[in-house]
Amino acid sequence: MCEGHSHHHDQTQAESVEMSPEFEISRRGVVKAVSALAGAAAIAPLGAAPAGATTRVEVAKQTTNKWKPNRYLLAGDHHIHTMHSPDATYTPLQQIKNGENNGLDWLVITDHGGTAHQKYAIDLISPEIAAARKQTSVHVFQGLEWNVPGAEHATVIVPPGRNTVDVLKKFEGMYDGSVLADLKKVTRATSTDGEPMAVEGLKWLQTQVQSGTIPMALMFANHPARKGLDSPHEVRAWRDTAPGIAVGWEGAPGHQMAAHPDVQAALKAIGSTTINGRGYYDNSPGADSFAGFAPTASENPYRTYGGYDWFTARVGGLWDSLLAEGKPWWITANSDSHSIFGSSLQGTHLVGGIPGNQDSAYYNTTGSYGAPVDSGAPINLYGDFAPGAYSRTIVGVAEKSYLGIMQSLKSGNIITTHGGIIDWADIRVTTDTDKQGVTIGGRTVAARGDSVTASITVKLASVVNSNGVIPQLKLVQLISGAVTGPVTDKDTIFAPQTTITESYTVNQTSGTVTFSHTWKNVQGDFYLRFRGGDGNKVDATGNPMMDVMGNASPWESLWFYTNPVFVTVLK
Amino acid sequence: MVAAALSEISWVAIDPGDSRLSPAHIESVIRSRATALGITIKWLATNPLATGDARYGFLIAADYDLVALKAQVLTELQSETSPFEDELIAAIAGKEQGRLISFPSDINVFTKHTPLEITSRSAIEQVVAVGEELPADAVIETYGYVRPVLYEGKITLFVERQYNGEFAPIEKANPHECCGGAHAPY
Ligand SMILES: [Zn+2]
Ligand SMILES: [Zn+2]
Repeated sequence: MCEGHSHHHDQTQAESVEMSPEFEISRRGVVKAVSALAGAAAIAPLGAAPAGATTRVEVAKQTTNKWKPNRYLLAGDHHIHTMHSPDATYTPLQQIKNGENNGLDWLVITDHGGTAHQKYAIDLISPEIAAARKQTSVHVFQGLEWNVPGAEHATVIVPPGRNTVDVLKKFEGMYDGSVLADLKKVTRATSTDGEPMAVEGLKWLQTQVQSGTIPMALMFANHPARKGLDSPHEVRAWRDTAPGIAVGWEGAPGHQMAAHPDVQAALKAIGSTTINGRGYYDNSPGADSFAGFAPTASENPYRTYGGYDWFTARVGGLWDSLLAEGKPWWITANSDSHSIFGSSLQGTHLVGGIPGNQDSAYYNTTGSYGAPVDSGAPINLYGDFAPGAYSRTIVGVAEKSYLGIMQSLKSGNIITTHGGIIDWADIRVTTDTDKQGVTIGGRTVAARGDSVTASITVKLASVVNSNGVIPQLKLVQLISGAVTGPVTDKDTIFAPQTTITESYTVNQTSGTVTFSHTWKNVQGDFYLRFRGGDGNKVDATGNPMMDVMGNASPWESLWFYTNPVFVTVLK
Repeated sequence: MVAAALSEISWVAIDPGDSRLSPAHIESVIRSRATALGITIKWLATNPLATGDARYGFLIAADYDLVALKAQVLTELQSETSPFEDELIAAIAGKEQGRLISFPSDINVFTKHTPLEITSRSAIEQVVAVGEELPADAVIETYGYVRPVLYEGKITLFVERQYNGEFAPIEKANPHECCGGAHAPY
């Protein structure tokens, strides 16, 4: 039914980045199709469908992400650093080859925004990325890790094209929180007085798309709960300001190796008392944190749960609260690869000779550390995976092209996996009214009283992961909740009506498994999503446990999460 | 150990408003000015949880007249008396919200403790493990850094399990700033 992780690429498309006239024409064609689709989704809010609109054609008009038996599944990573970040190690080509060797089909280079990056690094990396594209079959996007003013970091993705670098550079110069702080236009990169600048930045990107300067732009918030900076009202403001651009966040952060006991041992060996959290999630509330995320006796939003960010891992938490509004908000999983556990390469200009501890004063005047050098021995202080070695953002695409990949990211046809826990998953949700149904990230329609069936087909892991084993999926959970419409309090954190609706046990070790659930006599709008895991470190309620500081091997709790499907009940 | 009647303490608030100064810098100014004036700071608190408008109020309490100290600190920070002073003080005095940097204690914070040792020998009223019951014989390694918060009306030290089975406060002295130039805090 599905192709699985295809490692074959559309060479023509990858090479046509050189902007041949044909490409421009075909690109414009694609752009046209893309905007028509996005427009349809944007003007058809849930529950707003006209009564009696149930002919096949009319149903088709109201659904998005229609289920189809064949499509490509492309694994990717939208959060990767290079030696052009003040705290990362490798050349762009090294990271791209790392991703290629781990089976990725697409990736986004996202060095940190900042004054030196904007001034020096962009101009250095742009030709390096262009040259690297000729040496790989991977779709390589040039992006940015934006310091969102007043908030956390975010990936910004712009497809390759004539104006890409110019747009990225202008955007960073005007709207990066770190640049703005250096210019004393905001108190700090993360201080709340920067919040309007984040919204302005998204509006500016929107203008670049509307004017045709660039065909698309996407923004995903990175490690959103890490420091409690991404308050619910900020996330809602981004989404509602630029619904075609600000489309989601990392459901799971990178740095997944950080709390592995081997890293802990390496820290101890150099006399450090640092205890890493998984994902380097070891913070607590600070001056710019949102008060509602304060730790309580029962949970700590500043930690990961089964490797996932609390915003996503908590059933009925902030992600569900956004989805319960009936609006799209998608999750991804990425490496945030800076320095890879066990790699013998170390960056130049080290402080105190400690790998990973580079002298940013040097970077600040150059925008690059230059290529790393081989230390001759594996470095276990590093807490990151190579791109594709652990975290995967798998998109179902209609077309293997840069815009095809971005369109699928925008439409939410995305699942996330850790440690190769599954090869892939496919969801189909059908109703009595919409018999073809829709897939991940889609919206289907039902008449009042219809039955609605959600099925998930999972291809169990068939590939040895980078820990040397074929992991075993043990459980799958269906999570669903009512769509209750836009919230009046923009800082709403919870969606108490969203629960684990059904849990399934996986009794086989290979092949595919399918689980279905039917809602009978549906009366109101709702949404559903799935997740599943290896069954390790799950509490009595079926939720992932909080990852233990300094002892959270990423291989001992593996999860996949899908994005949701919305069901609109015609009134 | 102490009654911890925060409402009976005379607090002053120093709220740098939209100052570009880091909390660590503000704290160091408060401490150096206090030393110069011969004032011993017994209680020092922040209110990091009341933000929404970039406030980071520092609150000081001591058995001295703090008017001179406050004036000097505000002058050095080029700041003014905060319009939120009463609010910040009320949140601390009412034990609603806040985080303590200094508080009466005779625990040697560089050693390991049981929960009872911490509550009987410092102003901390309860030690709470996030997400689990804290065993009475739990070993709590503070790494010399203890920042209790006001939670459910009590001065509370939140701890979490760590790699060796011991517990540690959830607020770390050197968390990962990660990304954008900060050195890896090994
Ligand atoms: Zn980041
Ligand atoms: Zn990053």
